[in-house]
Parts: sequence; structure tokens; C-alpha cells
Amino acid sequence: MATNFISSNSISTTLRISASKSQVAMSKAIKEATTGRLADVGEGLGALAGRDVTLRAELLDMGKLVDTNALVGARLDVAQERISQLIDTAQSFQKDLLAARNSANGGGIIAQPAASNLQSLLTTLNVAMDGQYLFGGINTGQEPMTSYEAGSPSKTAIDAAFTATFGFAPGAVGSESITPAAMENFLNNAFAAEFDDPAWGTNWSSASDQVMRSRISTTQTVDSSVSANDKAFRKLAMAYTMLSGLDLQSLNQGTFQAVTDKALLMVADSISDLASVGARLGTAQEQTTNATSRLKVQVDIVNRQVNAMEIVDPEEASVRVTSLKNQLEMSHALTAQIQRLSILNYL
Amino acid sequence: MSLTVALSSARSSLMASGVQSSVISRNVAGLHQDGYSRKNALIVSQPGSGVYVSGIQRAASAGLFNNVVKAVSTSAQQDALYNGLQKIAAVTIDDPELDQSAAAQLAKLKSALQQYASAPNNVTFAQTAVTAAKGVATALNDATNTVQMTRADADAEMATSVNNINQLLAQFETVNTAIIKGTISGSDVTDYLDTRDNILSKLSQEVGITFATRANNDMVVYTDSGVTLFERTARSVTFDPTHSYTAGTTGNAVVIDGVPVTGANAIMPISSGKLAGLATLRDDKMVTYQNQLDEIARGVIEVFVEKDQTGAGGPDQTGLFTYAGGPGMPTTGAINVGLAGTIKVTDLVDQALGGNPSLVRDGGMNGASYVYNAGGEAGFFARIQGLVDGMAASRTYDPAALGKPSGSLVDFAGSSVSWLESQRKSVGDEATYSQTLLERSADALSNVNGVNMDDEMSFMLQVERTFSASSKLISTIDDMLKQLLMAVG
Repeated sequence: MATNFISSNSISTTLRISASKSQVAMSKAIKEATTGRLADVGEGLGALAGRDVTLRAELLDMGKLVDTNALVGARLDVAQERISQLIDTAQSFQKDLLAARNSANGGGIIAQPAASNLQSLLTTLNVAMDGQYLFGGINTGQEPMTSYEAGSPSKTAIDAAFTATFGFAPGAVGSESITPAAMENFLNNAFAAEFDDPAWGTNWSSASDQVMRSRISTTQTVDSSVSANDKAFRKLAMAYTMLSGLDLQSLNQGTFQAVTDKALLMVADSISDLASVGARLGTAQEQTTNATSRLKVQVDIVNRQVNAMEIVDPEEASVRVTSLKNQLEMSHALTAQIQRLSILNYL
Repeated sequence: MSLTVALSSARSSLMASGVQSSVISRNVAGLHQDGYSRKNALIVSQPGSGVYVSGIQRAASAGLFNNVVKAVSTSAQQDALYNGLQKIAAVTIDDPELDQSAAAQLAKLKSALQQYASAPNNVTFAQTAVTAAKGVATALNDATNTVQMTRADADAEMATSVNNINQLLAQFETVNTAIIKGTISGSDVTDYLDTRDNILSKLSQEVGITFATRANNDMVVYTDSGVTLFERTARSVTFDPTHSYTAGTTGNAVVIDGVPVTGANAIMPISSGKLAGLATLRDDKMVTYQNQLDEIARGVIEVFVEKDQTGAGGPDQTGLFTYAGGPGMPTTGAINVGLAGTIKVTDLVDQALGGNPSLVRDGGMNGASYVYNAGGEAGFFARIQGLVDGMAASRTYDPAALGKPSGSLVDFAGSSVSWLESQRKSVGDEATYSQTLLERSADALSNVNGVNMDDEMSFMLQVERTFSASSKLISTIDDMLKQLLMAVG
């Protein structure tokens, strides 16, 4: 009896429950079919949900690094381009200087280009990008170089050093009598000291020795700028200054040649130093580019991982919707049929 | 005389049919009524004088009913727990794509700082970082509020549940007394028995129960942990509700018959029913989740700590993130209860309040000794980079929070997401299972004690035929008696 017996309540409840379950499943399947993602990602993943969240955090992190790398890369590009300009200028100046060394009135000839090159060196080092002075080290908020002109601290200090050594100002009567040896001594000591710390830091540059360091990947950092205090710039400034600031016309030919020899040496030195600065920047540029392309690959991989966790096959979901729809229709049809199936209709 | 005997047999059959049809109409009336069990008139033959109704029987199965009661309790417990977890997950995590969780907010802060580190002179980037920091603080504050509100809601529901239990027990007492009396006097108590079962299944929704029947259909009810709920009289169930919750609040225990049955000090803790689910939610799950939030908050405050830069050995002070107890640092290495509720971004970096967002780069929120950027350089990246590294660095967390014991802040926050979602998933799965179990058990019980309309109708036809046959008999006997009397007369 018990196995054959079914209550009317049980018949209708079974139908009702199966219909409502189908409806719940269907609303979930419809959401999955239209969005292509799990209807409830958190509940679907359970303990893996944390991994999903941290992967998304990584994505954000790497995406931001790609952005900041673009910024760092642009900064490096500008710096690199300025360095090669400086090298070009220095190289052509080298030729002019060689020619001037042996010509009469060479001092008068070379003083003009030396002065304008010094000016352009200082301007180059003062280049700014997005409000950041690229050669300021980490003191990016301030123009690193002060100009060399009458009354400027650098010129005043150098003139004072000259006067202290020789007893008169550059270009004054008596300049003719300075011996090459005395001049070399001056250039190597009192004059050179003007381009060393602390005089360089007080009279010429407000840049910091510490340069910007930027994170370019989750594990790598690179020096992303060059300080105006780098010895390449000091040497170049020194060469240009000795040729433009000491009134070479007033010196005798021997002393003039001693100055040009020293200047040639400094320019050659600074060209090779500039080249190594350029190489440093180039390495950083390359590292940044490589890091960016690596990051992009990683972003793709992590994206795939996130998708693997969250995504459902929309085809599968839509097939599910169709079959659930059929199931629901069948359940409605059955309900109607069974409700009609009553003994009352036959009594 | 045998004709009179036949007449009285037919009469007894008419009487029995009357009772049978009344039982059938009771059954039809209870067709779709929950908890109604099918009744049967017991017809017994009386030697020499037909049949009589010896009593009304009730179709019931104690075993199946017990299954239903258990399934109802388990299902109610899991539903209560699931609903709470669902609410928390929806507010504090939602879809990971929407980046609403504390973990996602931390990731945003880290990437904002990363951007700021690439151009420390950029005030807009500084503001972006401050805004992201506020996002972290708000996410933690909101999560704390939601957790505590959920606890308060659970507390209120527990109070309602205890009220229900007391009402149901009072009803139970009335019905049980009626049943005992009825059983002793031999009257029909089947409808009372239905009512009592009905009360039991309602009771089992609130709290897990076991029960036993004694002499005269008297019933005793215990909780699933063995505390007496009813024996001859209803026992008192008391609960003192707490209306507002903060992270440190411990809710009161439910006391049944003088025995605490919920909370940490429960002597005989109940394990099923809505009350058990709500108590687990209020005293266990939500407390753990709050602990995790508090550990995240501690980690964040510690990453942004400001240290004395002068070497004078001043105490560590809170930096970008501070809290109600700032500027002193929270207790390290342990859960600081309620920290996530009071964590905030210091006003000193809020431009709207006259603050300076560049302090994130320079430090010095606690005075000159704490300035990191001593040179005042606009491109000072070391502090910001240090903060980014600090966020990525592995830290240790109190194992009592049940998250990862060590890892970066985002990792720990992620493990908290994992914890919550895995709870939700497993409770959800169990709830689905116990729901199915309940449906099956209820179905099985209904198939034993339920009413089948067709069956009742065909039985009705049978009764009708018996009735008309008996009536026919009576009129025939009447005719026969008439003829006899005429023959005599």
C-alpha cells in the first residue's frame, strides 16, 4: 500500500518545486549566456575567489607599470636625445678648436662659439618635461643650472679666482705676461676647483647627485635620469668656460695654446664621458622597453588566468537556457495535464 | 427474531457509513493542508449485529516525521547562515570585476602610489594617491559597519526566534494536555495529534529538537543538544537582545531552562535550527571576518608608519593612515579589535581641509623630526617607492584571523575574500543539499500520511454503494415485515 500510494499534495508539490527550480536555474543561465561570466563569481569560485581578486590586483599593478614605463621611457628618450646633441656640438667644436689653436687671433675666433656652446649646454641641462627638470637629479622642481654671465655667481667666482692667482682681472693689462706654466697651474687648480664640489653646487648647479630611480617592473628598478652634476657636464662646462671666460685674446700665443690644449683634452674627455652617459641611458631605455613588453605578455597571461576562472562558455550557457526552457514548458504542460486528471471528471 | 437482527445490522451499517463519509470529508478538507494526516474509520464487525466504528485511526510514520523535523532544522540553520554571509559578500566583495573589496582598493592605492613615484613632483598624482587611500579607509569602514549591522540583525532575529519558541511551547502545552485527557477518556484525538506535530515542525525551524512519546500520548521535547524544552510544562527560553553592535561587543546567549545553549560559554550548544545558524553568524563567522578586516587595517597603518628621521629614536607614529587611537601605533602582531572601523586618512593630506597631499612624498605628518624629504626635493621618490615596496612586502598576521599567516597586504586581503566566499559556497551547497533532503523527506512523509483525492473519491463511491445497499435492505426488510404483519393481521 505504502509504495503504491501517493498523496495529491505530493503530486502538486513535486511539480511546483521542479518548476521553481528550473526558473532559478534559468535566470542564472540567462545571466551567464548574456555576460559570458559566472552568474555569481564569488560563490562559483569559493576559496579561489581570493586568487581571482589578487590576480586582478596584479593586473592593475602591471597595467599601471606599463603606463608609468611610458612616462619613464619618454623621459629617457628626451634625455638621450639631448645628450647626443651635446656630443655633436662638442665634436664639431673640437674641430674648430684645433683650427683656432694654430691661427693668429685664435682666441678671438673661438671665444664666440665657446660662449654660445656654454649657453646651449646650460639650456640643455635645464630642459623640463611635465614640469620636471630632467637633469635636476631628484631636485626636479628647480632649474638645475644658473647661467654664466656678468654678475652671475659662477662668473664672479671664476673672475675672483683669476684675480687671486694673477693679481688682475681677465683681459686686464698684464695678461700678455702670463706664462703657459702659470696658466696651466691656474687651470689645473684654482680654475678646476670652480667645477668641483662645493663650488659647482653653490655657483653652477642646484641639481642633486641622487638621480631619479623608477620601478619598471614588479622586480626591476632603473636610474631614469642623469644629474647635471655628472662629470661629463662639468668637464664640458669647464672647457667652454676657459675658452670664453678668460679673455684669451689678451694672452700670448704660447699661453693661449696651453689653454686650448687643456680645453681639447677636457672636450675629448667629456665626449667620452657623455658617450658613457648616453650608454647608461640607452641601457635604461632598453630595460624599460623590455620590461614593458614583458609586462604586456604577463598581463595577457594573467588576463587568461582570470578569464579561465570567471568565464563560462556562452554557447554552453545558451544551450542550457534552451534545455531549461523546454524543461519548464514540459513541467507547465504536465501540471495542466495532471490537474485535469481527476476522478471528479468521471463521476 | 432474525428479521430484526438483519434490520439492526443494516442500521449499524448505515451508522458506520455516516462516520466513514464524515471521515472522507475531513480528509478532503485537509487535502492541501500542511501537516494534515489521513484519517481512517476503523470498522469492526460485531458478532450477530453488524459493524460498529471502533475508532478513528491516523496514518502516520514517526520515523519519517522525525526525518522531516531534522531536515527542517538543518535547512533553517543553513539558510540563516547563508543569508548573512550572502549579505556580507554582496556588500564587501560583490563581483570581483567591480573592484569593491578591500583587496581591490589596496591594489588601487598601490598603483596610484606607483604612478606618483614615477613623477613625485606631480600634485595631481599625489591627490590621486590620497583619493585611493580614502577608498581603502572607506572600504574598511563600510565593511565594518555592514558586519556589525549583520550581527545586530542576527541578534534581533534571535530575539524574534526566541519569542516564537516560547509561543509555540505555550501552544504545545495546551495541545499536549488535551491529547493526554482525550487519550485517557478514549475520545478522538487525531486532529490534536496533527496540530501537535505541526507545532513540532514549526518549533524545529527555530531550534533543533528531539522528542519522545510516553504513556497516554504525552510527549517530551528536548533540544538537539539535550536541554529540556517541554516536559509536562513548557520550559522558559530567555534571551536578552543587544540592540547595537560594535566590533568588541559580545552578544548574549540564549538560555533554555537555565542552560546557555549559544555562544562561547554554552554548556549544551544547539547545532541546528534558525537560532543555531544566527548564533554562529553573530558569534563566530562575523567575528572572524571582522578580525580579518582589523588585521588588514593594522597592516595598512603599519605600512604607512612614520619613523623618526633624526636618529633621536622618537616613537613610530601613524602616517597617511591613522585611527581613533593615533598617532601612536596600534598593537603590533595582534588583532586590534575594531581598528577597521576607525581607520581614516589623516586630514593633513586632505586639500579640502587645508592639508597638503605632498606630505605622502615628504613625510612629516608628525612634526619636523619625521620629515623624510629633508632636502625638500620635488623629485624625492624614495619615500613613495618605500611605501609601494612596503605594500608589496610580506608581513605577518595574527593566525587567529584565519587568513594567510603571512604575505603582502593584497594577498592577505585576498585570503579574507577566499575565506568568506568559501564559507558562502560550502554553506550554500549544504543548504541546497538539506533543502533537497527536506523536500524528499516531506514528500516521503506526505506519501504515507497524505490524502489522495482520487482514492478518497473512489472510497466515497464504495461508502455510497454500501449506504444504498443498506437502505435497500432496510426497505426490503420493512416490506417483509409489512407482509408478515398483513398475513398475521
